[in-house]
Amino acid sequence: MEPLVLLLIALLCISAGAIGALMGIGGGLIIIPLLTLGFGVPMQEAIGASLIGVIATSTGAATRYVKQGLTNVRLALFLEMSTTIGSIIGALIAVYTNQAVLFLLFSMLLVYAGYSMLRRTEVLFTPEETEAEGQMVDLSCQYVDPRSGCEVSYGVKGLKKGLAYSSVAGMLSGLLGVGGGLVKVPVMNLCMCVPLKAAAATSNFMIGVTALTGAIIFYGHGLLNTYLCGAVALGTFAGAYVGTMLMSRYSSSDLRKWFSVLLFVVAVTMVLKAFGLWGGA
Amino acid sequence: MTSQSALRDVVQPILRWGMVLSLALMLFGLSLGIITGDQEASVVPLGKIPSQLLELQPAAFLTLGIVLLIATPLARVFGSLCVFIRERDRRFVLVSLVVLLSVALAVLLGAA
Repeated sequence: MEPLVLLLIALLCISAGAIGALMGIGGGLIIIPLLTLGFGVPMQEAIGASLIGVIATSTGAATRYVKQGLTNVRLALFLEMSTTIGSIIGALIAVYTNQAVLFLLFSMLLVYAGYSMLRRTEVLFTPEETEAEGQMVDLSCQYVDPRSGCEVSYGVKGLKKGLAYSSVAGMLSGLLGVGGGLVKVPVMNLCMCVPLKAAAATSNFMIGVTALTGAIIFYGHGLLNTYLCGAVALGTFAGAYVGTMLMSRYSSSDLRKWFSVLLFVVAVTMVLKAFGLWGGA
Repeated sequence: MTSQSALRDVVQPILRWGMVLSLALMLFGLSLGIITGDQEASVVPLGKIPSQLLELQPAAFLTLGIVLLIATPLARVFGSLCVFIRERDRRFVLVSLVVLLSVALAVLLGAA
């Protein structure tokens, strides 16, 4: 590939990293169509580079989010159990399912999640309140909001529901290759009462582990283009840094609105995909 | 319960070093490739990385950067596991082991 093309790809991937870090998604939704539609990269190479970009976004953002306490490491590990197992099941049954129907169902789910996030206000519980309910494990956490400087201490509710829904999130990402973060953030925020910024940071953190299995398989089969992966990784690393800075500038309610908009936009692309009108993932 | 700061103090350096090292290797590999005009873009198998690094092959530096990047999230799960073992947090030792095993299972099934 030409050095100038690589530079352009790296620059454009900054947006993917920034949105990924800010919203808690991987960024594959942006990277794959960018590479296939924008630069004519073959689908398989694009997916491989996107997996590397997703890990870079996750790692780059998490270096800051973990330090700030926004990432709830215990919650991430807890939910990773069901997302990883869910994605295995999804990948195994993918060949027996009708992709177009799945894309349509997925888009309906996204619209529902987006609508709920717009309509409902955030409800938080203190660690003492959730502890009184006697949960399986205590996942409460605290962080200092990088914008307001206030300390937020929250308890996590609905662990069983959270595990069940995140296995669906994992299954969808195994079936369709997209959408883990788009489902996990609303699940944590709406069902488990995790503040949005912490939900986004935790989801972004988890995505590194989800993408890692795919990346190992692609590496093993020699399907990674080193220059392309390098350019995408450099761009998304830089973008992840930008995303963490943006996170400090906006309030949770602003981010919630943007997240709903993102869900609606992706829902539309999923409908287009169902009818074969969209080349990306 | 494992303290939040104990986990953070282990996980954060793993992520930072993973990022810094892979970033440096990839930047070097990309620059070297652009300077020498080398077009070989395929990933290098693990066993051949050391010898190709000595021959200053750009793809070897890029591959090592990619491998370190892939290993970073895995390393932070191992890191958390060690903290949970040290603090005798049995439930979370189990949680981390389930995560590691399911990652291994996913890789095995995907490679088949």
